Amino acid sequence: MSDHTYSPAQGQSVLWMRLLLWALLILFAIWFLLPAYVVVGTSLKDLEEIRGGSLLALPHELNFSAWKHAWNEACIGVRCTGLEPYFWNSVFMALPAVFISTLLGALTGYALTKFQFRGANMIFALILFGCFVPFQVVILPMAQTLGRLGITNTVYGLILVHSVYGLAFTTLFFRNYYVTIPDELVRAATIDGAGFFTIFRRIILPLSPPIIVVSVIWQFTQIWNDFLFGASFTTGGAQPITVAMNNLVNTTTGVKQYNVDMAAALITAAPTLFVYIVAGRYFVRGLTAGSVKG
Amino acid sequence: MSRPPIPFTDRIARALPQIVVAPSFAAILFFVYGFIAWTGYISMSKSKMLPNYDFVGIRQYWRLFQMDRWSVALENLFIFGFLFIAVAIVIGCLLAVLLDQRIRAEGFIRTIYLYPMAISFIITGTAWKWIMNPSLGLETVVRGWGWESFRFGWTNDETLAVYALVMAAVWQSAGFVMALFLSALRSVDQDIIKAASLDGASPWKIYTRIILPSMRPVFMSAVVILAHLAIKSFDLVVALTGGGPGYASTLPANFMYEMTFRRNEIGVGAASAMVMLATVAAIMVPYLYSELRGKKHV
Amino acid sequence: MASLTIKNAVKRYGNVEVLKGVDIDLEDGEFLVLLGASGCGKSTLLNMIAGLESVTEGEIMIGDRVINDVHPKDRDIAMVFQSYALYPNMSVGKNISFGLEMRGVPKKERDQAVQEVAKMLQMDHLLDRKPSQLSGGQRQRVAMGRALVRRPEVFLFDEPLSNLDAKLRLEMRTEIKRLHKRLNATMVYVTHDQIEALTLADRIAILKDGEVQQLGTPAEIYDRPVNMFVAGLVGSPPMNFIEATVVRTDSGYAAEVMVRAAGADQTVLLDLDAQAADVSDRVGRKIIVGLRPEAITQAGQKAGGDAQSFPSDIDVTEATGADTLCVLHWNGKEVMARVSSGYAQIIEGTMDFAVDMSRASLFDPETEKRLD
Repeated sequence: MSDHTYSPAQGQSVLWMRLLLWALLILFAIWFLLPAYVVVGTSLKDLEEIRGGSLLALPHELNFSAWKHAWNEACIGVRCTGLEPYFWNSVFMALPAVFISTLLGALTGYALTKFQFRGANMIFALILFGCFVPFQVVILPMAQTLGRLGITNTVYGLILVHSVYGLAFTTLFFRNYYVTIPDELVRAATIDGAGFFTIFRRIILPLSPPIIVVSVIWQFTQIWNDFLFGASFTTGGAQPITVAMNNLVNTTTGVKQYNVDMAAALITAAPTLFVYIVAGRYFVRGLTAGSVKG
Repeated sequence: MSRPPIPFTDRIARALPQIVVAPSFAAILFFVYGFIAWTGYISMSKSKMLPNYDFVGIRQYWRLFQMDRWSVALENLFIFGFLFIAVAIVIGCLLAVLLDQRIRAEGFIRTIYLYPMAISFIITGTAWKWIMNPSLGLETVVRGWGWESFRFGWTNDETLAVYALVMAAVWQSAGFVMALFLSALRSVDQDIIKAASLDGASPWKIYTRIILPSMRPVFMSAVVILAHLAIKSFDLVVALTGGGPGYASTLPANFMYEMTFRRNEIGVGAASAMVMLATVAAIMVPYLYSELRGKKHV
Repeated sequence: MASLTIKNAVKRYGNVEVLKGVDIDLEDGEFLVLLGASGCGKSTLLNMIAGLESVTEGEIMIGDRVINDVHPKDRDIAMVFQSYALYPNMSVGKNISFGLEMRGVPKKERDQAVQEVAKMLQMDHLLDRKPSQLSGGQRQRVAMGRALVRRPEVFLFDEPLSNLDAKLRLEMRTEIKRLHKRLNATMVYVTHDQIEALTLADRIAILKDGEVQQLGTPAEIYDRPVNMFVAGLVGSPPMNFIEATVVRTDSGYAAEVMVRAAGADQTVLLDLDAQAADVSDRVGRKIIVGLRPEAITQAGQKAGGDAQSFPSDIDVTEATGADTLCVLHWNGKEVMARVSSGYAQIIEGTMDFAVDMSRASLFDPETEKRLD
């Protein structure tokens, strides 16, 4: 832990500890990377190579035909359109839902922290519990409600669902961020003559980019990766990509095309992985923010 | 002396915070609490294929607990939940301690450990299912290396399928636990560590006696969040084992989906959902209560 | 400019009464300091004047206008906060002009007003910087500028100097005093620092547990504290409280104290004849004699008109520069005396001290109230 001088014997044991440390780190890294390696490798092979060769063997050549097939030819159920339309379904579902839930979460968090009205804590506790409700318990009424609103099996239905259930998390994020902004700022602005929305727009929002990034990344990841709501409320052409991908993999007609399955998995994972690699720092902050309440 | 009445616009301005919170709160009240009540009622109704509001008391619950599929699902949840939480915490904690040793390329290695958190359980399931493929997967590869008795086709084995779920779920979540612990490790007061090493404590002692005990709150958070993840687990099962073989690896969430959307047993499905909610509430409510109460007066 | 009237102001949160009926009348241009420990209600009262907290009962008036229900922005007040509360995302210039912008003042006038204030506070060169680029003292100036630019009826200060280091605090204190003279504005200033209170205030209101203990000029507060709480709060080092028995003497009454001199306790009678208080009915009973350290000083150095002097042992001395504080033992307790620094060489031993009993305050040991 500190820079003491070691005797040669101690130096030996420190070296061994260091080797053990690195051995463990690399072993775990292999375990974490194995699926990624296998998925990418398989997606680049043709079926001959998959059946004939080893799972861990490198592909003979970079063959992207499985990717192309998964993107716009593969059959999902009876529709052989590839994943492309479903990819756009997910995009059109995720973007508005992320925007709405983030905006509402920011406003709610702001009102709950900077204007401590009677019952604000109670309201927050009730909203917070919404983060942890198992969604199975809301699926049935939701299906009925969507039916009555006439938006079953549409992107709009999923936008509504994800906006509402994401709201609990975004409120938590913003609330926890805004409690760290001094109340005196709001008081000073009030005396300066700014109202609720002016303070939000001119003072609070300019301070919010870090938490906005966290909220957007979290919501985008959650919504893109959702399977339960997509599977419960949509069928056929309105499905989000996760559901379509699962159907593609489990379509039993014809020869099992493992390379196409893996390419489909990659395409489905690509957007969130991209976000993770570009803005991993904020992604981690969102993950840990969910566990630090109060 | 009479005071002038408060102008109407001022009243509105004063109520703005409440007005702004109202839609969100109303949405949560309706879509969360209202729906829970709704599902609760359906779980006590005659509903089969369509919702039916004839009250039958706890008959659906009684039927639920008669079903072998449900007992299997509950049993699986306990096995899966316990192993998943325990293993994920042990590995996550180990990784955090390893990464805390001032190693080079820490950021890079952390990125590798954490990337599974960014992808969907559906993809995790699909990938591991392929790796566990009995004829083309890792099993064949390792046997080819000479280890003839190696078995990795867990997804096709009635007893092993649950462990396949644990394996994939740990793979996905261990990095998250690591991130939690690592940030807690980094926030331990450095002066205490200095004081301890001046007192002659070895690094091992410092970890086991000072640092790890001080992380109890993080440990609690990790347990609660993982437990919550375990109870909600649905997509991983769908993609990895499909609940099979048969229904050997089904979990309550999958049971609920199966009953509600495939078997026209809405009442039983609702009852199973309520049991899941009760389980989550039993874990979350005390936790949230202590978290909120502890910090309210700061 | 306007007067400020607080009539029986009460603040309750649920069942907890934070302010229990405060009455303060402030004339136009007066500088009032609210002094008290944290939790005494002084900040709550200030926030009520600002309109940031509602008034449970009573009335607050600026001029002859009741402002209980008037929105803060319409009260014609400005406030300087302890943390300065500068908007982090805005430049200094924007920070200062924000209030004017909110009131719809045209850009040209705003710029001009900002320039004027910046010149007055000597910070014209800082206008384009962000608050995070400023030092503590500069931030404090910006916060002042933000209040000044609007030329309000009443200025409110919430412990504005407590985040500054000692030297800056002195500088800014003088600056605030100068501003008050120049603007001749009504000001209310909250602090827990009694020296700030004494130096700045026209009048001081001392609060404890939501009640005003004493409202008066700094001299009244310092020389004639109404109770032991006020006496102990103001002055540094604090007033000595000496428990003494009242006895009859030839000329009238005296307080009997045991003073340690030459290693033994000696009886000393502190003459009470200069006191306005009537102690005739207290003969044989205890009273508290309050003596500020400067009322006990070296003999011969003419402490006052009719100072009496007697020897006392010095336990410890603390040189503060201008003066030296000596710790004496009276009635078995420590008593502080202030001696001019010419005597700083004296470390231990016995010395003659003069006590000016005309500056003493007498208190009832039960009620802790001043006897007058």
